[in-house]
Amino acid sequence: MNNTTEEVGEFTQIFNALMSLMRKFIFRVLRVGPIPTNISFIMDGNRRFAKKRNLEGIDAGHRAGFISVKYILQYCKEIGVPYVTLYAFGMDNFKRGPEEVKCLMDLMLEKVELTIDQALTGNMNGVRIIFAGDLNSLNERFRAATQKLMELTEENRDLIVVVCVAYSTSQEIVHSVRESCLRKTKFRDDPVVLDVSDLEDCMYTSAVPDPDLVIRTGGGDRLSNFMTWQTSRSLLHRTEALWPELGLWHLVWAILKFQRMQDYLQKKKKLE
Amino acid sequence: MLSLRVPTPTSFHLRRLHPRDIERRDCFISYSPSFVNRGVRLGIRSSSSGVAFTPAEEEETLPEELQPELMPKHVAIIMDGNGRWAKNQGLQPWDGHRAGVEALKEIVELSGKWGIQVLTVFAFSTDNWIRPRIEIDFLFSLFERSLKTEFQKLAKNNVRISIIGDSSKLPKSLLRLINEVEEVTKHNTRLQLIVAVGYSGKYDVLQACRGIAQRVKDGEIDVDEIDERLIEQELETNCTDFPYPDLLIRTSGELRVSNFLLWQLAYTELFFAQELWPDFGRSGYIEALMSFQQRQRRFGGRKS
Repeated sequence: MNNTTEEVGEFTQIFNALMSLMRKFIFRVLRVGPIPTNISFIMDGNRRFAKKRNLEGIDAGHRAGFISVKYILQYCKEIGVPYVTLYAFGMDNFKRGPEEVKCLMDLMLEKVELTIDQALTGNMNGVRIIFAGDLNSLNERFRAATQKLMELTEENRDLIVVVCVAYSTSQEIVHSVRESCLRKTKFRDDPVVLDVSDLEDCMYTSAVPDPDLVIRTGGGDRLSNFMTWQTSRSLLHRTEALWPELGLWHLVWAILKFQRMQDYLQKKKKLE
Repeated sequence: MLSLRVPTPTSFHLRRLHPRDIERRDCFISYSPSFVNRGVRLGIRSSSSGVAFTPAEEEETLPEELQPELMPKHVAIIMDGNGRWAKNQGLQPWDGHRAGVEALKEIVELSGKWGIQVLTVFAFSTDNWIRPRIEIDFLFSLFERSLKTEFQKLAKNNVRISIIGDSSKLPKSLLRLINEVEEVTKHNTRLQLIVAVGYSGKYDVLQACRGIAQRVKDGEIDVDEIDERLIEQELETNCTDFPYPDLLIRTSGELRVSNFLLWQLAYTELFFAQELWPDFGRSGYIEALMSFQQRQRRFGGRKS
């Protein structure tokens, strides 16, 4: 009995090592072309996935979604994408049933606290987490946890992940205008009322560059009030696959598409 | 559920139409399926047969593939691909733009007939200012000429024209014409055609925010009073009752929004067509509208 478990363990290890080698090869080929600086993911389709697989529980689909997040972040890190943005929870998602909202919040809190433990034991692998959104609308415990995680991972540089929680572009712009006005009242003599840089400096996502590539799962073809300011020139890629089904090949395909479009973009820029 | 949409006819009489008789339905009716099965329809005709052109006869029925109750209220279009079309045909870029204007005329006509209430088109972006001067001058003179020739027809068809965008760099003659056109058509109700010239989504949001910041500086409003509705009222799309497009169509296969209508696109369904703009036409439009009608829109919430 012991032998079989050891063998199984060894087999899994060999398999994982082979997979990792294969990925390294694929990503090396991918890196011949341009890699997006910031990929943003609209993670749609968790609940449909749970229904499809007959999973029990309101948050079953979202738990599956979290597993997907871990894999995708790992692949992005291996490819060498510097920034990743995730649309976790939008301001308009508060419109969902209170039970589902509470479930989601609890799940996110659980995962954040798990990640805090990871960070405390030094297992973050150089990943920095930033939370973007109206964090004041979250409950006290969640807000405190997000602050702590941001502080703990501040020095990491290998992969910067922006998690958008309680986020929507319209709310972000309102927030930016308010902040700018408050800042400007300190400098009453400033003749310039408001500039683009004023707005952008006050945005939640000001620390990271604009996404080059937006990947939306779940088959929908819309932006859902997610970073419409920052993605005005990004390549919008959608896939029918639900978020928990998103795998290596979807990501590779999206990046290849990005690389193909880049050629055309460069030509267009040269013409102009 | 029976609803009747009827243009003001010159003369009319009611008659029962047998389904076999209907070669050409003369007015737009939406009906429930059971009503159709009974094979009886109420029709209103503007006059007896033979008269060539009356306002009622312009009402084209919706193609079978489209459902009237699911038509979008506001459609936005990025008319991309004129240059490439001209190149493919071995023509000059200005021929491409001329073909683009013809395509636009067709789409405007169809939108009016099919009950779309607002049509916004992206004619000229702030990014296009880097194009060669000769092309820009041609584009503006083409716009001016098209507006002059089409203006009367559009006004007669009850179309309201609005222009949005940074008009400070436009030639004076065009500006005068635009003001005149907007003034004359401002009470029209059938279709509102919004042409975005010198427009960019970021510019629109910025000018709205500037207006608000100025009002805060002047003490007119408090910082805490700034909310989404206030910004919405300050945007250039405040010229319409439906500032949020239901559907955005971009031709020529490019998969981006390119700084068009930023704030307003929050929940807009996007449709990317492979054809170049001059080739888009009726069939492309039907395809886009069919795709729209099949989509489930949740606006962040949940269905069921």
